[in-house]
Amino acid sequence: MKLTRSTYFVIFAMLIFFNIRITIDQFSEEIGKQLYIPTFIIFIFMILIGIILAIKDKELLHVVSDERTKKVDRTAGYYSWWFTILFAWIYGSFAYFMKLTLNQYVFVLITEMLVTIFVFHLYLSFKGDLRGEIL
Amino acid sequence: MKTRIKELRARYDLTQEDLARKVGVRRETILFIEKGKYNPSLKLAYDIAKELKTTIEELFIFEDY
Repeated sequence: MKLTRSTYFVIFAMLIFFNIRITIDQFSEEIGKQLYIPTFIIFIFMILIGIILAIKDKELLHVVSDERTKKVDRTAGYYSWWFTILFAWIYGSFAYFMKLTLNQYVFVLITEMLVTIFVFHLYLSFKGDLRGEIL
Repeated sequence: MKTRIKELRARYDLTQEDLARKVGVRRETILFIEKGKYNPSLKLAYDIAKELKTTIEELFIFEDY
C-alpha cells in the first residue's frame, strides 16, 4: 500500500463511495439512495484532486517507497488489526442490545478496518517521528 | 538529534527533492530527517553523507539523552 499525498485523496474517495455509502445502505436503503449523488460528487472531486497532486508531485505512474513509508504502512496495519479485534470484542459484549445481520456486521467490520488503517496512516505520515513505534 | 543536512544541501545547491531522488527516498523523509523528527537507518545515513561528501559523524549531531 503506497499511500502518498495524492493517493490519500483517491483512497478517501473510494472509501466514501464504495465502502461507507454501501455500509449505510445495508442499514437503510432509503438513506443509501439519498447519499448516492452527494457521495458521487465527493468521489469525482477527490479523484480529480488526487490526479492533480499526482501530476504535480510527478508520481502518476511511479510512487517511491522508502524505509520510513514502509514502517508507516506496517505500523498503520498493525494498529488497525488491534482496533478490529477490540471492535469485534466490544460488539460481542453488546450484541444482545444491538443486533446486526451478518451482511451489516461484515460491512461494518470492513469499514472499520479501512477507516482505521487510513486514519493511522495519515497520522503517522504527518507525525514523522516513529521512534516510539514498535514495528 | 540535530543534522547539518540543510546547510550542506545549500552548499551543493541541492533541493530536498534532488537529495531524495539521489538516495532513493521520498522528499518527506528528507524533511523529517532534517527536522530531527526521524532517525534514518545506518544505510540511509551513509547514503546521505556520501551524497553530501561528508561523514555520518559530521552530518549528525547526537545529543546525550
